[in-house]
Amino acid sequence: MKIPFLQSKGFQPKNYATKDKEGDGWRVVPDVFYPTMIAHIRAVLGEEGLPEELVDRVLQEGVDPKMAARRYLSWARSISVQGWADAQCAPEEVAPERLAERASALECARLWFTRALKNAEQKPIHIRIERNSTFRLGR
Amino acid sequence: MASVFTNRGLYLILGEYFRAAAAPAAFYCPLFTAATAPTVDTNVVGDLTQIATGDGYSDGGPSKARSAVGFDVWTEDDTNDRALVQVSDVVYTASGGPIPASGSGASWMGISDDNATVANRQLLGVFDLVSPRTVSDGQTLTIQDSEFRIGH
Repeated sequence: MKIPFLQSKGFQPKNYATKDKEGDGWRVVPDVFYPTMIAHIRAVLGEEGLPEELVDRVLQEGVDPKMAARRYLSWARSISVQGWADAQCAPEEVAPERLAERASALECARLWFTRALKNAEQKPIHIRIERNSTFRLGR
Repeated sequence: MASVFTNRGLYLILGEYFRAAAAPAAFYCPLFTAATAPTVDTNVVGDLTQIATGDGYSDGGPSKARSAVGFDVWTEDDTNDRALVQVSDVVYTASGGPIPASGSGASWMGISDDNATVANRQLLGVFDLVSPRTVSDGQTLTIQDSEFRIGH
């Protein structure tokens, strides 16, 4: 599987999802979406600054538009390098004691992506994640 | 953020979808202290201890639209055999003093129906805020991306 070269700046979540048949929702393919997000997050972790795609574009009174970006960055930083590596392996390939951190990495990647896609759309979204046992949270 | 989907909440969802039972016009987002931990058997707001009202926090909490705006990310996850829905950002603003006005901080945020009597509002679920939260006068507490999950 080839993962496109990613630049953390200007990340476009819509590039990694397709419109569903009805045209009002999004479909994502796990063996593209998860490795892409993990590579992107690891790139962000190696840089200064916040992930732009998580800074709110629709402002809400009293809410810091950078709050979500800081929160996801903090979550991502709490996951070890090993945890991010494990997230790209099938659960059967990961030691049982590392499964919880692997699951946390996968959930961080999924929620980071959905928040970014919602920001990009600037409206509510619905998503279908296709089946792929490699990216199950557990065994 | 860990969540508890109550049995009452699952029952209501099934009834509203399959039996066209009456659905609330809106939901509410009460905050609860840690005095009583919610479980799947929690039924109504009155089963738990709400934080003290005042200073911008009203009895029963702020409303949340029963719509795509109120629940703004909806996911079918075939990889993990589950479905998820996210509550759009919930904002609590302290005004004239702290939230809570007195007593213990908020440890849980619930999603309830809109019964006129707050204590009787049915709780669909609750989200763990991890540690007791208090909000200083003029500051906000924003709960983001809290997510209900139903799976096999």
